[in-house]
Amino acid sequence: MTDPHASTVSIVLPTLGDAQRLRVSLPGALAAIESRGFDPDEILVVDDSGAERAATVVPEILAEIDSPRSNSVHVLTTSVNSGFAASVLLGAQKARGSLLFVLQDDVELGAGALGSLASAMKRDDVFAAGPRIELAAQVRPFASTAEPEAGAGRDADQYAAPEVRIVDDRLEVRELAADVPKGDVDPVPVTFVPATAVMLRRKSFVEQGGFDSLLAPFSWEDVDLGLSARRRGERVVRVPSAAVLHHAHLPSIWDHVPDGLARAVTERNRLLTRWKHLATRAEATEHLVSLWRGVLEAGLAGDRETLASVCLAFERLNEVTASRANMQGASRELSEVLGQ
Amino acid sequence: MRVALVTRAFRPRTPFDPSSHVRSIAPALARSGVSTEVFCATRGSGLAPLSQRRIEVLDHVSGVPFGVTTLEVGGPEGGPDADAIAAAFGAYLDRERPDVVHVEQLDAFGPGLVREVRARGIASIYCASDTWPAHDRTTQTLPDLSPFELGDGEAEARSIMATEELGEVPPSGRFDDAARDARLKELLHDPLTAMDDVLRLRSARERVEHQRATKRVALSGVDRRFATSRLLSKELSAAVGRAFTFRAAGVDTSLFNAPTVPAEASGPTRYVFLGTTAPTGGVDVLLDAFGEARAAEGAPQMQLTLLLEADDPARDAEIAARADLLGVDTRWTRGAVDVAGALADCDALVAPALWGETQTSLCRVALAAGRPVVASRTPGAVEALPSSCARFVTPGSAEELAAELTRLAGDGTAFADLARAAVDSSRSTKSTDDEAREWLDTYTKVVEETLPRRGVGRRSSEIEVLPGLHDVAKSFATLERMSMTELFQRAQDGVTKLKKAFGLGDSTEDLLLRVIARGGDARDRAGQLAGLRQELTESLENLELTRAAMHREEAERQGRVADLHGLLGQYEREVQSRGEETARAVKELRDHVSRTEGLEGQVEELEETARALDEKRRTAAEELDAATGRFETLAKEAERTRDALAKAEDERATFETTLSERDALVRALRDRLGAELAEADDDGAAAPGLAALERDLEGIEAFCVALEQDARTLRTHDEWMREETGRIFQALGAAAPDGAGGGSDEGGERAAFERGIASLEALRGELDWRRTEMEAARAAGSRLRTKVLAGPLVARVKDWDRAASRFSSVPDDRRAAEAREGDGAAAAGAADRVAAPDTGSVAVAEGPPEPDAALPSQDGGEPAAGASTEAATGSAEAAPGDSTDR
Repeated sequence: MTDPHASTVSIVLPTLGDAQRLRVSLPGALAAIESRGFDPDEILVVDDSGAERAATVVPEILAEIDSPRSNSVHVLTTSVNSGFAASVLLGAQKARGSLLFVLQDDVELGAGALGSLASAMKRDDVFAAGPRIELAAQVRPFASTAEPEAGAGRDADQYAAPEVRIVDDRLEVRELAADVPKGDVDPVPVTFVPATAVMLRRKSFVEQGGFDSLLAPFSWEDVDLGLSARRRGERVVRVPSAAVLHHAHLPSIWDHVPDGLARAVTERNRLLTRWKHLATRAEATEHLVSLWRGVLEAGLAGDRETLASVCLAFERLNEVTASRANMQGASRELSEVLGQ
Repeated sequence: MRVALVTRAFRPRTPFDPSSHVRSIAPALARSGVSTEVFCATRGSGLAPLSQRRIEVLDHVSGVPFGVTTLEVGGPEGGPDADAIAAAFGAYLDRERPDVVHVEQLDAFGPGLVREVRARGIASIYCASDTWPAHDRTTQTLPDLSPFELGDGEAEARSIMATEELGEVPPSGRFDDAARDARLKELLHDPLTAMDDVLRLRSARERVEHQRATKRVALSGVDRRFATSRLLSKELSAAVGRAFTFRAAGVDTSLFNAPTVPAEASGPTRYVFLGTTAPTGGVDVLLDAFGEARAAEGAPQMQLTLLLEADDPARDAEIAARADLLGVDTRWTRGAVDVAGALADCDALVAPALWGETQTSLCRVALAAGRPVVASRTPGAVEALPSSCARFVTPGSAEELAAELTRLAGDGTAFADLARAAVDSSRSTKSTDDEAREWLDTYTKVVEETLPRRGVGRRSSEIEVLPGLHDVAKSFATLERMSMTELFQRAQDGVTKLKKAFGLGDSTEDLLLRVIARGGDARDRAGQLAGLRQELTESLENLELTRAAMHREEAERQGRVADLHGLLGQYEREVQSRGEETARAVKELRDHVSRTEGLEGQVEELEETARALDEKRRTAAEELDAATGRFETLAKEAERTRDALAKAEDERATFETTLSERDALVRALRDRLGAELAEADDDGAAAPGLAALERDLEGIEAFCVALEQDARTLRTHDEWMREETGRIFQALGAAAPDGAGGGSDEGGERAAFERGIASLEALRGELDWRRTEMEAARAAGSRLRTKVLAGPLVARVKDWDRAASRFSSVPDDRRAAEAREGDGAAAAGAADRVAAPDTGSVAVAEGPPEPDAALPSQDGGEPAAGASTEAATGSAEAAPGDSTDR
């Protein structure tokens, strides 16, 4: 059965070929497209391991599932590990659906979530829609800057709703507690949707080059994507009635990144994102003053980590300039977008 | 290449302190292109413990800077522990990120530093210039300055034990206190027999062994080990169990001009000594030797200069005084020592040290300056000095040293040869630049060898970094290897670039002003800290107040405790005393119990006695009552007796009158009889009757004489009786129960009554006797009357009877009883005497004759007369005697 008015969805599953993680995400994704019943819906598993692990693992899982939509699952591979953003872009480029649903391979898609998100995307001004993300177990450190932390300050009937704010001229992602909805509710405008599970308009996403490579190899891409859309005047929403379960405790890319480097890259990208979205001279001057102060204080305190992340950011100064130049239609200031 | 040079202290250059070598090698390394950072300790800088400060020092030759970071490790009273110091060094390593750590001295920090180096995978080198790997006492001398062999743990243990007990020994190696000095010698050298000493030595020995083991383990983790002399490398290799490679230290030749052979000496030979006044340096020996050499006859001219580093004031003053006496030029210095100048101004160096290692660097410096050396024959000096450039003497031998100084000064040729050899030797001197090159080569090799163990971050060895991370990981690793200074410099450059990229035209100064004005975490933290400090200050003030209050309370409490202790002591003494008393009481009680058992009988006896006494008292009371009755009776009797006496006196007077009358009568009768007899003689018929009358007359006369005697006796007795009666009445008056003389003393009253009663009894006896006598006299008178008299005499006798009956108031029954109780014979006699008058009175009662007709009859008169005479005589003889007896 095909609804000619409905949008087709391509689920992009970037992975390093970890079977344990794929066993969490792939069955749910298959069930989702199976329940939607749209033949064009597809699942694109993008193997970024550089070792074509998914080519072996995915057929095994499909065999275990024995789904009639198994033929809708396609495995793409990158020749070398190129990072999350590049993998998603590859999947987006190969996808056929009008909607792109980026799903991390450790996220279990809830029943009806795909349909709810697709419904939210029916509004033309919605650039991205994200589900309610619930944690399956203890979150791992440094899983993502945009990742909700495990249950802190929330009741059982609440979930973490991350939002971006500027604190002391520094971008921060803060988790707000939101109530789990009873039944269908309207989408909620947000500043960004975590890349854990996000639905996008494929065409727009591909045209703007996917996640900004400025932030490669990881971290802050989703925040940048949301802020860019908001600055363009597009909507970014969260659909509380659509739920996913994040199995953040499973082995992840962070197991392949030394702690110090992970922190340095995260902090670097925080700065790069801030620099990218500095809209006015006054904002830039204030930020420079703030940054310099931070550098001086780090130097006095012997804070190598801060200095290292700042130095890493400075190494990409040229890329920042290029990225800023590529921002088309971003006429709104960040403070306006964030309501600050 | 970045190297961290670790040393005890970054001292000015002195040729006799191994730690000052870093002052030469650090700039040499900097000159050779190595980024050089010196890490050293400081004490008493005024900074908080573990504070670190970095300064930049410029190499005086090239102007290349190198960093010097000092770590405050606390004053002599003690500072942070070794772990805290090691942690501080770890922070230094994280900040400076050296590629290699080159340790020159570790004694100020401890072996923990090596662990920190190893934990970070940094290449490490240790170069020993002393015996620290084997001993904490790197001088290898005991506290009394006597030497010990390398590896002698026993000596080190004894040193620890001695200093722990006696405190730090003065630099002279002796205590002023003889007792402490003797104890020091005992602890260091004598066999220890006291158990406490043995146990403490064992403990010290264990600590020495533990320390050695810790060092051994730490040094095992060092990638390369070197020693500055062959001797040291050999000995440390043996002691530590790890190979120490010999690498000679270089000499900073930039300090010296090119040495030349001195011209032929024309003046005195100039010797110089460099060092401290420490006894191990041998300056005492040198002064002794110099004095001896100068005093010798024909001694060559010599000069001596002492270039001394002030160290111990007392010791320095002593040496200065000795040097002055000898005319030795003494120069004192603090800090940098102008070695080059001192050596340039001398002909030879004298190095008379008692201990060998430190002088090797000094000897090398002297050779580098082209100066020969007169040195103690210690292994280090022998190794450092070619025999052609030096003369050796026995360490500590002033005689040998004096002889050598004299010989060199007096033998110009020999001295010239020696000086020439020294100059030749100086041309092959190893400079610090040479040494730096050797080290750079070593650093490169060791860093290459250790590179695999170095990574980025803690988990680097465990993680297979994804290819997509390679670029950023590489950049990050580059940043990680930078020192803090370099990293900050790069960040600063980035800020400038960012400003340019943003097209901001603000000047750096303006931006900096805004930076300061903006505020940030540091200011927030400072504010928070200020608040916390304020709270802390207030808390401390409160604590101070509380502490002061507690001290006061404590003082009061201690006072109370002291009082209580005193009280307790008192109680204890009392308890003890009472315990003793109780013990005594128990003993006494036991004795008493035993005695009581015996006393019970006595008590019973006493009770019986008391009862008897009560009875006796009762009886006495009754007797007293009776006596009182008797007293009253006797008083009455006495009254009557007095009356009777008065009557008796009257009667006596009458009797005397009668006697006188009778005497006159008798004389008349005799006269008449005489006349009659004469007539009868004349008339023979009447002869027999006259004879009888004469006999009667004689009998009457004799009887009258007896009566007169009786009368005298009675008068005497009357007088006695009167006096006695007076006393009796006086006594009775005094002893009367209710009389004025009556006292409260019952015993006294009773005694007085007793005496009174006794007196009355005696008086009664006397009255009885008197009555008896009177009755006897009456009987005699009756008989005489019967025989001789009649008429008025008989009547008078009857009056005597009546008077006698009035006198006697004692009842007849009582008199009879007393007569029964009294002397039988006397009573019988008395009764006889009483009975006779009764008989006579009966006869008289029949009718007394008239005096004229009352002539005695011839019959029946003799026995009576005889008995009367006998009785009267007896009475006359007995009465005075009785009276006298009374």
